Amino acid sequence: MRGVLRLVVAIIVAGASWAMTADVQAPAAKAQSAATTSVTVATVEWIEQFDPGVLASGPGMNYKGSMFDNVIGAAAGGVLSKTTGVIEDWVVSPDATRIVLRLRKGIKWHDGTEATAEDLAFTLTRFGADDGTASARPTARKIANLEVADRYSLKVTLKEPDSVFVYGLSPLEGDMLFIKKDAYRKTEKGWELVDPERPVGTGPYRFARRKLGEFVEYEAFDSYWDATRKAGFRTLRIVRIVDASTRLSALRTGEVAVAPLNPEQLDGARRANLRIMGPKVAAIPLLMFFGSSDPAFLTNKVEFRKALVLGYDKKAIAGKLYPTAVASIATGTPLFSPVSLGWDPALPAYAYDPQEAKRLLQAAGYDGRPVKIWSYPFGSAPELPLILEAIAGYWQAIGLKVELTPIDFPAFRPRLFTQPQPWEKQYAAHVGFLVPLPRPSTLNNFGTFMISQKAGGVAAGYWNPDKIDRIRSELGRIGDLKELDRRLRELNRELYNDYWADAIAFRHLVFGVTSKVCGWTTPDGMDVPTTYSTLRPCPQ
Amino acid sequence: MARQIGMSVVQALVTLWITTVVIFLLVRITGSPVDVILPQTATSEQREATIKRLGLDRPLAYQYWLYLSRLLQGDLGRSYTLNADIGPLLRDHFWNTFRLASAAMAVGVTLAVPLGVLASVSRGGPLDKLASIIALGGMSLPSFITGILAILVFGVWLGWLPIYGAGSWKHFVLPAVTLGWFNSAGILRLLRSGMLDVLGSEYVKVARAKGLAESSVLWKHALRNAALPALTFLGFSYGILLAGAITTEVVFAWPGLGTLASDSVARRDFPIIQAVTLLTSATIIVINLSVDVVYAMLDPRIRR
Amino acid sequence: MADTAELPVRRRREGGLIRTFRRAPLVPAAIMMVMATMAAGAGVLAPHSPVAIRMDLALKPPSFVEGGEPGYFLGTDPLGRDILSRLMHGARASLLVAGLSIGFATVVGTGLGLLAGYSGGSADILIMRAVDVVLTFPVILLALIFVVTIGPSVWVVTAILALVLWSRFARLVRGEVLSWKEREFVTYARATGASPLRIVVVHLLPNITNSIVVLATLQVGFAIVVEASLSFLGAGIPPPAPSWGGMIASGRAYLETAWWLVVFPALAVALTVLSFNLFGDWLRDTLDPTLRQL
Repeated sequence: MRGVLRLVVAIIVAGASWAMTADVQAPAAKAQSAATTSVTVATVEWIEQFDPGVLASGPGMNYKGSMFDNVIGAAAGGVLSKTTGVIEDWVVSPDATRIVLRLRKGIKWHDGTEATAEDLAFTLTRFGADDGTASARPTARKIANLEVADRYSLKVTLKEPDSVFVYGLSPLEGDMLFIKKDAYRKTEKGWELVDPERPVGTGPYRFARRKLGEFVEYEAFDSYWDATRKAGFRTLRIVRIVDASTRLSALRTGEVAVAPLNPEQLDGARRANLRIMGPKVAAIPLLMFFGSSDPAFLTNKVEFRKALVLGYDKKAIAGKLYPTAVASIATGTPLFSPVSLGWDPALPAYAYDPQEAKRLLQAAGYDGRPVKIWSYPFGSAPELPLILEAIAGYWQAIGLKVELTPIDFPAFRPRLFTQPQPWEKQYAAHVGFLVPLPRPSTLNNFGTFMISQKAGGVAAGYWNPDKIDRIRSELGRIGDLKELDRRLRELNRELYNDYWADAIAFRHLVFGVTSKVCGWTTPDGMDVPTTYSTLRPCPQ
Repeated sequence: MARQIGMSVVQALVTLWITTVVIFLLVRITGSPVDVILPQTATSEQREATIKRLGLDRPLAYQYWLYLSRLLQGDLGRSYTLNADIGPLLRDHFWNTFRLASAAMAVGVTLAVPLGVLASVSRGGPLDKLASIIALGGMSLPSFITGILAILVFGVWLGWLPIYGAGSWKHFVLPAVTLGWFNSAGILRLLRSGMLDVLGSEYVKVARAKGLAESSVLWKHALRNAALPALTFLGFSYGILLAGAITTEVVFAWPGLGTLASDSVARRDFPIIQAVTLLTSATIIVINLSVDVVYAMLDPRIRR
Repeated sequence: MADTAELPVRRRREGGLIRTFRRAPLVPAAIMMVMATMAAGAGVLAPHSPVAIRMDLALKPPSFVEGGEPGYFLGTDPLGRDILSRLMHGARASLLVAGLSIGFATVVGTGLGLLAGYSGGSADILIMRAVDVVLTFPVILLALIFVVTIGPSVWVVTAILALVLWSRFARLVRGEVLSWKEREFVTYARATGASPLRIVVVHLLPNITNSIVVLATLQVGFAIVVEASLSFLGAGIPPPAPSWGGMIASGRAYLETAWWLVVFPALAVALTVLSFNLFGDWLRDTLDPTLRQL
């Protein structure tokens, strides 16, 4: 007995002490340096793989944005740039079916070779491939033909006229990144990285090492083609911290220099002397009326939709739950934002008018059926369930019955893809949030959120599918951007009184930043910062 | 004895197999990884194509057959979202959780043993009550709150210890203490009652009569005999620690099985969920089996 | 002779009934009473509705602190709801879930434990294997899976908890039955032709009741804490209904800016669990000190 006990205790103690001291990996960043040469960024998502054609958008950008370049760059205010992407110029034919892309000369891959138009052609091919799952895939699939004209030029022919095609090659409308042809090989399942542990890009940071599930480390690439935008720190380390309060604590202890924050943490962050940075107008939480094209639901009637929209106090909710650093109240017609074509700043936010809402409910013939509220958080907006609780409270106060159903998005999403969408008829309406990115072209958003399923739409949120399908295809044929802008503004004003959905706010992405970092350029209108390479240390 | 062990092993394997079937079916009811992988702009066609490419449209029985045959060859599969082989992923994360559980066990034992012995001595007295409150305190607060408080106090305010990830031995302290405190209450209670039992027994009276020093009676003779039920609990809770501790791992961003489990459910990454469940169940079964064997060896009454 | 042989053997309490209850732990008992009253009478006793939204009163500190709003004794949450009222209704939710799951687990666990212990043989093996499968199944994973499939609800939480707990009861009862089964009075009863059911219910069960009661009391704390952890992971009682665990989980982001969101529910959980545990300990010491393994 004594022997066994002793043995057990010895094992536990020995095991514990060995386990704790074994395998010490002092983070290389810490070991190496004084404060300015390395920066650690915390991220929430964990989709760390290095093929931009797959799983790129949103979460994936954290890991890829710093080591790959944009094909066409973006500038502040949601404008395309000829200086920040690998494309230095593009020419669109008048009928919007042919584009010539000119690649910059002298761009080096991380392995030392030079980038050519072959790589550009491959990029467009790979993103549009069958196994591609990037958000830029639809853009790439608009291509009918690619022709490498010379070492640095590529001729693109589209299947149909599309004046906003080039937007899709930029971070404003997608997640396309410039990839190297020779780094891939074709297999029966699609494309595959030849060496997944040694990915190559052209970006300011180069992949150094990683421990799956713990961290990824990059080092500055000295031969980056744009000397003015070289990496600010020698080492960039991306770690993963899922819990929001731990992220804030890590900022406060200095173990992490940059980390995303939830809206309710802003006060605490400011008190801890952290600065708040990040791209503005990065996402638009949009309250959708699912199934409103079906007359069985009351949301088919404009009176009912208007009642729902007027029936809750957007200013009060946004005022309390969205500090100004996080979001500004959405104004104007849903899906139009300050960075999109057709924006009309004169259109105010929808008002709060409970009396009118009650009257409208009666006018719409509200029959007491409950409104089903689907409640799930989004990565870019984790506060949505709380907002829905608040909205539900207001709606109950105007006499609506509500049924708040928490669910997670992957469980909810199949509903949108089913044809027809399976919205249960015993409810007066189905509502829930989706979070569109504020795409400058606007038309691509119409596609995802408004047009009918038979026209290729996904959410099909507009109550009159024939009308919106028609409008979408008309507008898609307009070649001139100025004309498109004008027509979209007209449409904007027309749709304002439709109350077809309700945008809560123009939400920014907020990051807490410690005193280690003194600068960060994050062009507006993108849902994740495409790169941490613009992080700048503080001058010593 | 050998036959009994043999029976137990067979039963264990059956239990494991049932577990794989149950989890295999359950996860497929929860949705599809396709809805996590695809971006917002994905169309119906793309979704269908991706489902097909991942082989998720095949009949369930066929999918299970594929899974089982690969499993028996040692292939745990490939993660849908990470595009990496699960074997090395699981191994690293299991090792991290194992280390944390061991450290937590050590903390629990270190806290509970002296407290338990001393509490039994001052039976009903102030030390006993204090010991109860300390141990029960660990049990009555959910570990994520203790964890967050520990981070705030020792990491942020005092700056003594790092608060996330695994790296040096310092990274172990906060999560291990959080977990260990939670565990120590159970050990404490068992030890205390065991000690109370033994201290009143003939055996101890004889030892005292023989003139042995009180501390020797206490720590050597009594403790030895009182430890048996506590030992069983130890083995039992080790398994729990390994399996659970999800909340603690999430709070401390500890790269272990708990984090893996919680993430993979959110991302519907079936192969990882299946692998984690299998590993966890197997670990608990092995530990329980070992405890049963040890117990049987030590307690002649159970041997039949 | 027949009558005395029918009398089941009982344990003897030390020192008589009165002396026993005078040594009862009063403070824990009082706390338990308070919590139970809050839970039962929440509808009547709560000063405000737990779900009434007042954005203008969002995040107010407790009324006895500077900046507090009179009438909202323990402060308000981010949607302006009264913490005290939510605490009371949360007591109902948390205690109800704990009570239901333990009740269910007790009945099922005891039944199966009796069956396994008394019949032995294949029933025993089957039931114990089932216990093993349940025990080795990572429960939180199961909870997450349930939640993403069915969606979170009071019933899912109760089911998960009951699933975890019944196996403990089954194990305990089986062990007790095994040790009581060979006693003289049972052998005698069997010899005189009493049916197994009668033996189990009349002879065995009364002797086992003590341990069942003790275990049940001790599991209440565990159930409440697990509910809190489930809420943390998003698998707990869904909003807008308040539960202690849910309040702690959603309030933790405000730990330093709005401490009252976490401190009060955490205190409630801690006090309740502590009380149930201390009371359970006392119960065990009084009823049957030899129940050391609990």
